[in-house]
Amino acid sequence: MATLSDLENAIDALLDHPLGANQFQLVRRVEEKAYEAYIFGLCLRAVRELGATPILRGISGPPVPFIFRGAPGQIHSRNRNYGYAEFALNGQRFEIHAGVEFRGTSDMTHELDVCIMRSEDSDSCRQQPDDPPAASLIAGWECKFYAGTLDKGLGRAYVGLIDDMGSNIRTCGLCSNTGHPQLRDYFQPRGQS
Amino acid sequence: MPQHEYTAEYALDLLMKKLTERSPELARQIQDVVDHGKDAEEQERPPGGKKSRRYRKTVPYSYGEALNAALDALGAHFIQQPLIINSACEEMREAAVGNGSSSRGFGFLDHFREQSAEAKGQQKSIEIELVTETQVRPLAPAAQETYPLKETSEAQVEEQKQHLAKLRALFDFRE
Repeated sequence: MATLSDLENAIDALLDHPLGANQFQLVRRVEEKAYEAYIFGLCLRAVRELGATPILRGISGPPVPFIFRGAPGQIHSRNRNYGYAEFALNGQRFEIHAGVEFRGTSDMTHELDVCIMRSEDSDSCRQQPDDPPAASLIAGWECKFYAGTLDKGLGRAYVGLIDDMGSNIRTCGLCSNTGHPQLRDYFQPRGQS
Repeated sequence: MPQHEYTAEYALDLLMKKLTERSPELARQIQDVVDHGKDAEEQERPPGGKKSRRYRKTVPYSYGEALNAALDALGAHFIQQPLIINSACEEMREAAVGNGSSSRGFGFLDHFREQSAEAKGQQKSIEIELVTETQVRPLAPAAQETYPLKETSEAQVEEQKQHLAKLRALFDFRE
């Protein structure tokens, strides 16, 4: 029989473990951004699997440390030495960014949690500070780390975002560690999942 | 003879109490997950032998289901999050590091030459900004401007997985 003492001990063991409640207190402010760093890392892996070498850079110099933005920001911002990655494929240069704002086709600006864009456009926006145009975007991902069921509103927001990012975008997605059964239905007929 | 000395309701109450003692914020998050409820299919049987119809309805979790939802949420924080950070660190480790700030001005081949190839396979220092660009800074500087991502050992993650599995077994009230 499972006793009350078994229950108490098991709850304490889970919560008092080094990866328990104390660890949550430390990382709670960066959980969402850590998930973006994870998706950024998967992009690096995809680049390597295509035979290219991703190179980590910082806006102001070598990315030591490599800093992820804590909030949406401009690609030209030198508030910190924000990091990004660069790679070349089929004679073209591209960059992978996290938390950078783009100018949508409507002129409204939007943050892409993780994206791949043409280096030519990012170079230009760093030299003459500006938000990159939607047309410079090759791929974009919204990243949501949730402990429970995903909010349905995130799906609607994602569809609105991608709709304003023009037609150059080749691939995009809403990435999450969790889901919502109705969101699966919402995306499926449109081929957006 | 019951298999437990406690009910699912008591187990949930105890879990929430212990969570609140250690982290009120985490307890609030888990309570939100539990209170979210679930979609269920209801059946309406009209009088007069007419054809019945089904419809969706949001209903609360049972205590047993709520316990499992709470454990899934704790698993996201205690197991998924460290694995996510480990993966990010591993993928960054395999990348090269550029010496310059940007490739602008370099020829296409120079772009490859100027990278510091030896950085491939080396641990990179990764930080997440805590004090953001637009934040109005207080008079006293923040104790921490960025948060360094640190890898967790597989052994620790495995231990925590076992703790979660043990608790899930204790929360199993199926006859």
